[in-house]
Amino acid sequence: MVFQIQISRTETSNVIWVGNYSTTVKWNETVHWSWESKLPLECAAHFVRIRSVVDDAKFPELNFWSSWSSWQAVHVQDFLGQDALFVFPKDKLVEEGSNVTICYISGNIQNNISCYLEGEQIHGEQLDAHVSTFELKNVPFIRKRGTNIYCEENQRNAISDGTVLFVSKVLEEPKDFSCETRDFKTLSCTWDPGTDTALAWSKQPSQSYTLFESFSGKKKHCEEKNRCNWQITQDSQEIYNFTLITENYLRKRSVNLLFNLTHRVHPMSPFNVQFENVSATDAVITWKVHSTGDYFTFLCQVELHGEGKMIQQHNVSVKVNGKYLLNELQPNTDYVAQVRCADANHFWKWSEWSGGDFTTPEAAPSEAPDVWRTMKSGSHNVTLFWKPLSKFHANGKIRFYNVVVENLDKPSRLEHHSIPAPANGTELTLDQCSYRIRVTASNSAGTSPAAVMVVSADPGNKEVEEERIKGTEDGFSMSWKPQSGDVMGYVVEWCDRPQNPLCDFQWKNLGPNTTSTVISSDAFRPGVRYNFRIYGLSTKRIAYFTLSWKNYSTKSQPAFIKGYRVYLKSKAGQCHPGVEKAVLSDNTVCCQYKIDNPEQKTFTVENLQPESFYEFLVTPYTSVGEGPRGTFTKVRTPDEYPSMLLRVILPVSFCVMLLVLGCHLKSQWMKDKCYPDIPDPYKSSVLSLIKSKVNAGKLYVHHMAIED
Amino acid sequence: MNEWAGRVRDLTSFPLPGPLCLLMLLLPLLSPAAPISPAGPISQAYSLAVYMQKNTSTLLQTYLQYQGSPFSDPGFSAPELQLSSLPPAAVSFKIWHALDDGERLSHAQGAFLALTQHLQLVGDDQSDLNPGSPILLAQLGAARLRAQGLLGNMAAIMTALGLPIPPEEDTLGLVPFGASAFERKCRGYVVTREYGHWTDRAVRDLALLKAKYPA
Repeated sequence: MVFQIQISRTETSNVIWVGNYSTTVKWNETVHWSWESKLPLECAAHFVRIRSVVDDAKFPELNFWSSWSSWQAVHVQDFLGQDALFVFPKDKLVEEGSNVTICYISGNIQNNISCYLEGEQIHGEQLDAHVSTFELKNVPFIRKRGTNIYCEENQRNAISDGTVLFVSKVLEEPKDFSCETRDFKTLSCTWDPGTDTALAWSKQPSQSYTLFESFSGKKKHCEEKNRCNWQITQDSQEIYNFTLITENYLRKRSVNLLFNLTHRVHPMSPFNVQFENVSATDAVITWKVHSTGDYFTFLCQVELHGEGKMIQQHNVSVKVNGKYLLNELQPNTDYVAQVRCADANHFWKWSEWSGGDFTTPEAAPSEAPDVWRTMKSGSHNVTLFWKPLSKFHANGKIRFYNVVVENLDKPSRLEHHSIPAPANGTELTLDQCSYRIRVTASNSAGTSPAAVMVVSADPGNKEVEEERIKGTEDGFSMSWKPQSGDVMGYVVEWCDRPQNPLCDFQWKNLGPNTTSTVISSDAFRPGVRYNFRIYGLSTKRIAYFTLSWKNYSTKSQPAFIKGYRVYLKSKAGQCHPGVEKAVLSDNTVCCQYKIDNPEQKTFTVENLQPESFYEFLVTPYTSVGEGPRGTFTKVRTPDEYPSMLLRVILPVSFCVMLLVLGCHLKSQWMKDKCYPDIPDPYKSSVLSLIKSKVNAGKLYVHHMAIED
Repeated sequence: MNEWAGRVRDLTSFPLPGPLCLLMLLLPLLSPAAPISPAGPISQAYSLAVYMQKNTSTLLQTYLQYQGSPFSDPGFSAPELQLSSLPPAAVSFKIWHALDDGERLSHAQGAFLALTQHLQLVGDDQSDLNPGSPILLAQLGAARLRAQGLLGNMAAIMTALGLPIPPEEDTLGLVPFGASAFERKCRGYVVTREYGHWTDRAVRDLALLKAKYPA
């Protein structure tokens, strides 16, 4: 049946609404229908009437409208008789942005009435002599305690009546709805609820949240407004279809989530993080993960941090126990390592980090200390200086430095000196001989490679080239000619504080191909003279020998001796640069040294090759010419590494001796093995072997004549 | 009720043997049974009323602030709003001055009794005001307790003066539960306003009594 309803206001003739309502009817059953009036019903009389028609194909003959029912009056209350003003609707709850109609009925009040909303006057329409309406469009949310609307009589300036309009914020759809499990026992669902639509005066509580799962048909009311826990039952349900429903007095909203449980695993953080087999360069990290079933594999991430930075990151596949070897570590360093895990098959979220720290033990220093020496003129005391090893090379705390002094000219016991750190130098008392000095640094784990320095007993009568350079803001720029021969490198030495008695000795090591450098130091001061010495380090030891003819009496000679000449013959025929060449009577080339001082009766011939033969001759000269040249005396420069030769020769000769002895003792066997009689091929056992297999017996040698 | 509101010793409840009876007859001659001086209770009541007077305007202002416009508008006043269940404090000076002790005190008693009940009602209404008006609720609660204290003090005065204490009446009667939010806001305004007016009047009443019954 279809029912048509008419609603009138104030008078029956004033129809304000018509509508149809279609429904099935049963005999004697009450039909219910409702209609909400925009104008509060208290403000005017309303009338309603109804008529019907049967809209059923089965009864086409009843398809005509019935007559109208009589008008039914809807009276809420009679306010007209009263001597007061009444404002309606009372305490209405509406949603922000909606439209509301306010009205007042003034009974017998004669005065003008003004109405206000939040202190601002509102203007409305007069419905009739006693009723006025105000239409509020798009009402805003002002506060949870509601919005005051009141009216007052202008003359009396007194509040007559009012109402509180409760405007609710619009209920938002939950955002970021997501569920995950940490242990396959509980599902934890979270969301962002948005604004809380609760209002004061118990007008509206906070919106409720309910979780509904469609496959199981289960429902749960959530106690918190942004999270809910769901029990995972044993029945191994994998796919979940959740609907999160939120509701307040005005509106209902929902949001859906369909997911596979195994794709939403957020593991608990790993536990029992341990470090095993921690050495100077590597360590093994082990950890355990909370087991969630036999078929579960985790992808774990291991991070290594040192000095505040991340150094390494590795991915490891783990079932229950995790293990990983961290290598390329530095000795004597603090490290922090941490692990986190996630589902290997369907990644969802990483667990929290779990970690620990460890420290690698010390290792032996990896580099030789940077050593240099200085010698006081006149004495043979050598002061050694070294720079402390960098943290990278020290591999631990340096405890002491070892200085081993070896006399190269007179092989004797080695001198050991142990200087505790943090010393950066030491003084050695030496004599005129050549010494090899080895310096090493030691920490608790071992000793560094050695820095080797050879101090030769230099007479020091070399001519030193001197140059003056000017310093700039960046330092001193200097260059030199490359030295001939095998140069290992160059060292520039200077004093940072030349005025100081302590000198503040400095040096700089340079590579063999360097011919220039810039020396800068924070200690350089303007207007101060600094002395820089540049040394070339040679791999080869320069051999020399000293000649002396002290017994030669210059005074008792027939002439005035002006000086001496020293002639040197070498196999190579080469002279040291700067040394004159001379041709002798037998057309051999030799080197000539001139001594202009008749009283100088010693001379050191330097820059010679070790292990070489030389021939020398010393003869005086006068203003007329040279003295007689006698025969050349032969001399051989000592070996560079005499001891090394011994180390090679002795074992070799020993082996040879053993061999000879062996050969002698087992001469017969040797003979048989090494030089047997040439066998007769016809009598050879090989042939006999080939000839007949029966005769596969002993092989014996026949003595036969050797063919030429 | 306050503990110290006075205990009247009832002599007839003691069982007295003969000789003691004679002694008891002599006692009135030995020591005159002086009635309790009202000066103490009056002074106490007066101090409390003065202390209350300091806070009444704060209570009214705090209340109005929480109700929104027009209540919260500066200088808001609606003297035409009245509650039939609350006796008005305003009275003509001539009539007020001519009141005797009994009438004076019983008017005050009745008013403050009504005020304690109305303050409870207003407190319940305002505690619906969720989330935030702990200050207002605290002040309403304090006002109600002080009003109750003053009631106790006044009972003590009446006892000291030998006046009968009026019975506790249910002044609120039938509470209109269906009162709308706006009506409840108006109601609370009238209560806090009248509380201030009655406190002012109590100070004057007690000052008068204090002068009449000096310590």
